[in-house]
Amino acid sequence: MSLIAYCFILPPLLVFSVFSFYPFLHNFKEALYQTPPYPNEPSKYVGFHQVAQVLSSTQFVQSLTTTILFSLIVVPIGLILGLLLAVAANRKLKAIGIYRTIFSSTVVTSVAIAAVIFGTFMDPVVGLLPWLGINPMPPLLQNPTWALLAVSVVTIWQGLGLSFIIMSAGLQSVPEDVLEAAEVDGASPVARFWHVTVPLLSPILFFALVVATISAFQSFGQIDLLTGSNSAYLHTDVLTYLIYQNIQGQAPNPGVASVLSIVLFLLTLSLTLIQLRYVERRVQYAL
Amino acid sequence: MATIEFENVSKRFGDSVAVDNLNLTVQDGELLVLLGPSGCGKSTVLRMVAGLDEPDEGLIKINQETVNDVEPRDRDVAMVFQSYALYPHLTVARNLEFPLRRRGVEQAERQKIVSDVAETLQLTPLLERKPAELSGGQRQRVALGRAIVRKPSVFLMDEPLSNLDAALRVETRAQIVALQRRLMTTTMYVTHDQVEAMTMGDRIAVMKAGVLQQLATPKVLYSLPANVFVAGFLGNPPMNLLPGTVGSSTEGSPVIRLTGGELPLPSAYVGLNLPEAVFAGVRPEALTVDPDGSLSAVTTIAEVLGSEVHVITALPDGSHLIVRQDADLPIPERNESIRIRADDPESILLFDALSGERVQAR
Repeated sequence: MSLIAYCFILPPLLVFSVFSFYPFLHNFKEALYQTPPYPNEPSKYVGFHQVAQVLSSTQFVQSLTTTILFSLIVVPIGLILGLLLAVAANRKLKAIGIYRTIFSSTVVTSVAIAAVIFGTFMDPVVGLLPWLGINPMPPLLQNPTWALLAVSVVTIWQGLGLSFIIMSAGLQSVPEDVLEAAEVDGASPVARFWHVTVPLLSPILFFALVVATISAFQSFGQIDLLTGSNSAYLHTDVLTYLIYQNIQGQAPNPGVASVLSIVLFLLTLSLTLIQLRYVERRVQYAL
Repeated sequence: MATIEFENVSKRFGDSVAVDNLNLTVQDGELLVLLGPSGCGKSTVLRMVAGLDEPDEGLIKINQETVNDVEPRDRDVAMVFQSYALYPHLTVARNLEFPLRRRGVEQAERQKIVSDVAETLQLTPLLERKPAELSGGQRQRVALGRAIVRKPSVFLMDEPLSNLDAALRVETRAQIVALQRRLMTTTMYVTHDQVEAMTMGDRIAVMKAGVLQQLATPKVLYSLPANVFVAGFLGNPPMNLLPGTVGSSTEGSPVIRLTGGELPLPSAYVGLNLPEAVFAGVRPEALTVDPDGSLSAVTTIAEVLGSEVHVITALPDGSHLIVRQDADLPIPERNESIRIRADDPESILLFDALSGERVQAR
């Protein structure tokens, strides 16, 4: 019996081994090797020297700062907008299904498409924003003051669908009669929202927070497409972009990319662990 | 201190009529039970008083004041839900405190009230627990506590006992009545359980398909049901309703002719203009198995309940007739042909077979 079971998990195990587990473990080795700046030289073992070098570099510090700043903008706004839309759509109205479809539609768009759409909006020559009279110099996507915000807007818009769906599912799990009890008990709509809906939603809010933060940490496509190689100058050089640059850039440096990948992994892992512990404490909510 | 009035109140959900032209007044300090089968609109009536549903037509008044456009939180009513609807994220103490907090009662005052209510309902040792850690009966008491904590002018209870087991239900029933008598708060209590209604209500409003059938004290409801629905809904077993016609016996005295024989027409009906087709209503406890009885029937089954026996019989046309007798009397065999006598012919009620209404006696 167990042989058959192993046969079933073998194909995905193989795929994961080749494309996830091996590269992941290889990272830890690669992080200890340095590629010399001269072509055709073999990489050499440098131990933790390279790790220390990367972690203390201004490039890394700026990138980490950008990543955190980007997440701080994208995550709260995305969640709050998603919750507001979900609250707005969580009522018995005719044709509410149409609104729900519209609000959740960004789930089926890719970041690449979102980036192209917003890139066109913000284009200084043919864009919608310049046509509306919003046309700073230098243009939004070439402007260190505005580029990160512009990229954030794209990310928020693209993530809004998922945020809306998670929040809607959460709202529907809040029992109607508990809200009615609060209504009779004297709670205003605002009080009902803060004292009943939000606490009952908190496990889901926290789940959405972690999912959104991880997804923000891993944002890459829109940054690459909208700001590309100017990222460092435009302060949109998030960790994922720095990793990419260290592999595909003018001076490839796989060792540095590995160190950065491990940092990103540890950040994501610690967030997930925090969530697991927090949710475990909240499981008693179920009645 | 409050009265509740319904003036021509109707409520529809889509095409179905939940409440149809309801006129009803609940007296100050009264415990009024709304009784009916599920889907009869009784919960909707309660929810309209709470303000959770809006009437499509008519006025609802609390203390002579029309509340149709008043928000639930401004109506000064408290409601106990069938599911209890406790706040799952709050402790018992915080659940009890919730209505007080929303009304901005001072903390010291809040604590005093909560500990008093907890004492009354034996919740003191449970104050720091969450609802999920309580038994059904304990949750029910918390729900009750949350309703009485702010001394509302009206209590609304929507089948608060239906999720409890039988023994606890009897006990809690008495507690609720005692509590209501002590606080003298006007109360509307919804149930589909006739025993609950009979034991708890000062008056009972029986509803069917959104229409109020009868509003009366339990005693009047039992002895003088307004129509065949009420007659058949109350009592266990319910009143026998036997199809028949009014005529004269061979001796010339007025009788009710049934398929299995005749019953004398009560003197209160003699000389009245009676409908042709009637139902004769006789309570099972007013019938006795007696070889000299005027009705003949065949025993279908005898249900022995310990102190009493329900003898279920069939009349020649197949309609059921139930006799309730003491357990020490001889029990008829299955398929035995027996005769049945009405103990007190004057207690027989007549219902118009067409309209189902009880025929008014003199």
